[in-house]
Amino acid sequence: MKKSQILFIIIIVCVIVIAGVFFTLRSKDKGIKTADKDTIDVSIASQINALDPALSLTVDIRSILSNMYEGLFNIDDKGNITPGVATEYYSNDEKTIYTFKLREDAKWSDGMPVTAQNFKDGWTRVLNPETASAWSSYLYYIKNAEAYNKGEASAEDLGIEVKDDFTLIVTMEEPCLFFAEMTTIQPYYPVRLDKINEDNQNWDKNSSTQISNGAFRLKEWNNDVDIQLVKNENYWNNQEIKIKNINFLLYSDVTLIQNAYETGTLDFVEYTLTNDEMKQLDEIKFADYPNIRILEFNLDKDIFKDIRVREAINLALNRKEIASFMGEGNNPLLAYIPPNAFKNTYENKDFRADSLAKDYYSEEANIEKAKQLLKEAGYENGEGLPTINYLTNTIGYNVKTAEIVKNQLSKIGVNVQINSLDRNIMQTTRSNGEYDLTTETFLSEFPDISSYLYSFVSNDFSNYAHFNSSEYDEIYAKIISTSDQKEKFELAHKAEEIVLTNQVVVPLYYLKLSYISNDNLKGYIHDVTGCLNFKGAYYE
Amino acid sequence: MIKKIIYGLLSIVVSIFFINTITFFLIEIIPGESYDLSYIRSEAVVKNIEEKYELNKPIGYRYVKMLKNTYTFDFGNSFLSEGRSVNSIIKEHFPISAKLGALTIIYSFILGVIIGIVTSRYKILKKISFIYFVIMISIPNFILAAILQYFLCVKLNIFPIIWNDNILNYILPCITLSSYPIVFIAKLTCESIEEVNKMDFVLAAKARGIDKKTILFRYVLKNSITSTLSYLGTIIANLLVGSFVVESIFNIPGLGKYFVTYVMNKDYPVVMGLTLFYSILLIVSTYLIDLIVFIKDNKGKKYEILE
Repeated sequence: MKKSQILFIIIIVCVIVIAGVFFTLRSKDKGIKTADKDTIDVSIASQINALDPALSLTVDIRSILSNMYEGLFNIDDKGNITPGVATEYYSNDEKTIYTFKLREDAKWSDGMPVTAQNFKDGWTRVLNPETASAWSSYLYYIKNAEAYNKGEASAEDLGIEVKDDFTLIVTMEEPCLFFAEMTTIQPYYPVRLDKINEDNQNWDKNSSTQISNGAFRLKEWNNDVDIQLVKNENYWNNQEIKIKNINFLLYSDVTLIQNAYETGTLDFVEYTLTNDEMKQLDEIKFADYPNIRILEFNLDKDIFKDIRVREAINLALNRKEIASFMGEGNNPLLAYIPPNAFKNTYENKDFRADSLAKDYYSEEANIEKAKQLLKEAGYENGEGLPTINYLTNTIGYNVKTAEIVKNQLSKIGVNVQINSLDRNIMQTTRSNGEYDLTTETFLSEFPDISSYLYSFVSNDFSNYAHFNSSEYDEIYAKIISTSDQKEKFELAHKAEEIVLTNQVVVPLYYLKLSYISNDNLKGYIHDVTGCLNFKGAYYE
Repeated sequence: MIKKIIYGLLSIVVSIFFINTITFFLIEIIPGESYDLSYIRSEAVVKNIEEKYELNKPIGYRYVKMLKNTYTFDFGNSFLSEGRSVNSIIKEHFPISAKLGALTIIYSFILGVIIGIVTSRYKILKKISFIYFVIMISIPNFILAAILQYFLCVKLNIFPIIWNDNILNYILPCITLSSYPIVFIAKLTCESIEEVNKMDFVLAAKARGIDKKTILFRYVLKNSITSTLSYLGTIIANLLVGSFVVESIFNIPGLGKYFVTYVMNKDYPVVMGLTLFYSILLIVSTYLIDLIVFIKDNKGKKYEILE
């Protein structure tokens, strides 16, 4: 009996010592970097649903695609458009007809020329109801696009006309000022319909049918292992490309990614590690691509019918404390649209710093005023106020945010119950409206300020606040259709004001895109839609 | 004997039908959608997606279709990995899981039996091995995997960190996965050897002056292996299914991952296909082992009676 007890103690001590050595060793070390100057090994995604401009989802896969494909125009990290396949475009004064001139030396990776028909094919395919692309609504600016996507019109009715091989004429449903900017994003990429028809299901997985027109082409896609891209020698601007290979390693395990980065197997890590996990390995770098974390009230619920309750909640939160609690790289968000998201092209200043910009909240909480408002609403010290059902998914940062919000709201007597559900289930619960308050992470998917504003339009599917305001809808429609830059930004400020003064959302904090990378790697950019592009990347 | 075989085959068919039905309705109960709602901005898109994957069809229709698919072994395409058929997922990823599983089984069986024999003969070794057993049982797989990877891949650089499908990639996962089965097999072998050793026929053999090695291998081991064999059925099933944790730590493109990720995403075709595939594998392997044990025991009985 005694012997075995001693034995147990020895074992426990051994295990503790081994674990201790293990963790001290790993936190100290910063490994050697790869000497290979032609290849970039990247960990950016683990689950790839498709490499298809119509069907790929999520920002990480969008990054991979943006290295493989090129739209009519490219967009840089400042939000300026640069020539892609198109060299120039004209539009009429009403901004209803766009004419794109395509360069004649643009080629697919198999050497075929990129023609206007390829663009028409790609766009029609995204809009085809049978493709069931989640991106289709991003093309609704085109004439009859929505009707075709809903099965109410045929493909011939679409406002896309191929005048000749190198001229594309697009008619808008309504005036659209930023259509040229829209052509930089994924659903607007051209496709090779002849290759897709060869193998309708798996064309995107084999290098023989996955023909692309961007800087890199697919070499091999090993499921769950890696996606290997090689330089596209047929790319029209191929002397700009300095890197020969990019390997997107599809690691999902945190320990593996950390170990691989330490041994120098990985040159670039983004999205697959949290900031805390990155910090153990290297100094974190930030890109100007903001991501906002907000709460949305469910305005259909009786508790939130009273604007004073909503305002009280907004005032009771100490945004500075929340941001610092969330760690390095998080900043308090005092309005809705974050800094560095959009440039006011009219004044050439950041949207958050131009002459009309103002903050709607302060960093610190105003508990007294919040309490006062609650009292006026008939809930003195929160008495009589039902427990608030706070819906979130199980992702670490969301749960952490929920905990601190809950804690802060308890100071004014508001009780919060956190309902944290698995991502999928959470989304369904949310679209069924079974929540009082819900978290939303928001990043812009296309380079226009309306990407931040569409989710408050009355009939929008992602309007989880159930905000219904005809004034807002009118302003949003004008933002889309106005051809005057000045008016557009004024309206955007107005739209933000409506959302915030109606207390529709609770802005919490914003964060920049964080990543760690080999210090010698230079020249890559994060464009304004968050896509990571290695076209100009090189090793020093 | 024939009766047993026919009865076994019948029970396989019936169990598969039940497994299928239960799995289908269980997935149906899981809340959530089979597609990602986060990018969708229009009701029309939801309609198109449901139309494409036949999610808007009544449950009866889908159930019958699923049964038909099962009968034809064609489960359709995954929702989550656009365009990939379930059969191609199995074809591509099962060999890797199976290879790893088979290596682990062989490795743990050989090592387990050897440790079992050795520990049954020397009392001191039995005590020492006890420490090893306790450590191996109490350290979870993912910690062992992380420790092995950290020291052998990162620090000493003996094994590659990137998956290349060569033998070096299999060694560490194999060691990790076998940590528990080895202990179990060793314990089982050791105990049953001790038990058989006490039996009369062993005593008789000793009395006849047959040397120790012959007794061990011809009499003792042959009889004690039965209990180890019947345990094998469970390990085979466990290992062939693949381990989600170990597979993701070593970045092995096996099937284990598919179970976890795809159930979460309500990917009907994949979940149905994999469940069926594994049920068949599990049922058949257990059935075969049962049969082997049955045949062996019957032989043994005859032998004993003759003696």
